[in-house]
Amino acid sequence: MSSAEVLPAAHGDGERQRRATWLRSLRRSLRPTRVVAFVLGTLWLCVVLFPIYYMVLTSFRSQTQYLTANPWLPTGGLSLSSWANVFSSTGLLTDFVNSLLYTAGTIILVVVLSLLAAFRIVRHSTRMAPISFRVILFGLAVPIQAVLIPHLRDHGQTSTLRHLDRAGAGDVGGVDGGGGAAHRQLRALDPW
Amino acid sequence: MSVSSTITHGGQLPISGPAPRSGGGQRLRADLAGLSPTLVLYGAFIVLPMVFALFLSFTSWDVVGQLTWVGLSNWSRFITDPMAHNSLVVTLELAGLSWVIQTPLAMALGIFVAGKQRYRAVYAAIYILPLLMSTAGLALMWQGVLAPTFGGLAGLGNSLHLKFLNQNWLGDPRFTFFVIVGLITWQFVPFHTLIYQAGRRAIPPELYEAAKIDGAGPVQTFFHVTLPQLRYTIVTSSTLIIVGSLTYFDIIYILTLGGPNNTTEVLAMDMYNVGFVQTEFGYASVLGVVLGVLGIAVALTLVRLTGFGGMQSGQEGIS
Repeated sequence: MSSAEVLPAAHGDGERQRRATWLRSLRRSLRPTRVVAFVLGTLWLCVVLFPIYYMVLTSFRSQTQYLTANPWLPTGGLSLSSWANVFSSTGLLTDFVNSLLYTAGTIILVVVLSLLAAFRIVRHSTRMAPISFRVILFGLAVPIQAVLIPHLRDHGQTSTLRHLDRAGAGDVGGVDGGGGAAHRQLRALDPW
Repeated sequence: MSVSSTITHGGQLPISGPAPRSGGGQRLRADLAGLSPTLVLYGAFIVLPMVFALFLSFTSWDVVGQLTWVGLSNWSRFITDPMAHNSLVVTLELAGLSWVIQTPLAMALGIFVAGKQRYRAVYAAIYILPLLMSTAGLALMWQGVLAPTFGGLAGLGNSLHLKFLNQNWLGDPRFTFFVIVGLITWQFVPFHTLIYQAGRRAIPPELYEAAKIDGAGPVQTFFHVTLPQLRYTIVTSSTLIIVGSLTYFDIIYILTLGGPNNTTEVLAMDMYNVGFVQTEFGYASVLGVVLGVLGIAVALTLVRLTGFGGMQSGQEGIS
């Protein structure tokens, strides 16, 4: 800008050039493929956001509001009763701490082990590495329920499983208009 | 055409050649040190339980009582069990339909968000949201959305005068299977979008410049540059989609428990019912072994068909 002031003759040229560049980029972004991509991308955006929006909206409703208000528009008043329910429920803190512990432990194990293993696999200096890689890949195909049954001998872990399950439910206690009903709902389904 | 053929039929040079003989012992020790922790854990949590499940499939066991050897009777029961056959069909249909829907969708979205436009970066951040949710929370959220009359979708349908949106989505056997496929898609497309985004970004821009000079339009560029360059990405993503759908369980367990009319009774669900509800762990192990063998067979086929296990680079011949 300052150079344009110093050299007034160049001012018009610069302006024209800027406009030409802008027009070119506008024309490029208005190409049919780009417009179609934008429309379809926005459509998927709505698919992703709608249920999340609905969850947040409903978390601010009481049970009666859930039954009377328009299900998807922010009408019919605001209520914090569901949130209060979740935060006053016992064991929420334990559940969160459990989730944190599981997460931290898993991350440490996964990062350390896969880093060590991946380094040797990429080097593939002996035949052990590629063979191990294939074997490990097949681990993806093993259904977790199949390997869960043998672990049943250790009944101790069912209680930790239950805590984890509750943490999952606690996360979303506000989902259901019934005020923490989601929490109870999942507990009702709980087989342990 | 010329662009893709030079790439696909380029020299088959491995990234790094086989190691020379000298110092083999040291390398073996290094490999052992690096791989054994993973292999030990893998053996303890995957291989041994799988072997034990195979053993259990020849027994009768209800956890508390005595374990008795029953030979092949669990397996002959599987062969004549109409419930198991139904589950097998539902499982295969679920995996097939998931692949057919998720692959093109994730690829399109991945290529879309790999673009340089700034708004696409914002979209990409929002697309990730389903990946951040716990499956239990996600399932309950959708239960609210899909509820008849009071649900979000029914409300939207009423407001927009689209009455068909007000259905008993999770209770009507005409819809349940497709609803579950839709929810699995919603949950996992973000992950595969990420894979495809990374794959698209890894394609060297020179290839697109070359295609442009050759006068290729967007469609030609896609079929002769993008698609062949993404082939390893497609294999990885497809393997994960198919194997993941074969063993899928969580959302079905929370929302339908296999019902109504067993329309969503996948093999994993059937196995859960037989094992953990009816406590027939011998027969449940048969179903588990079948599921495991099915998954490994699919993975093996995909690896064989594509040479993915050889870990060749998709960019051989380009430097």
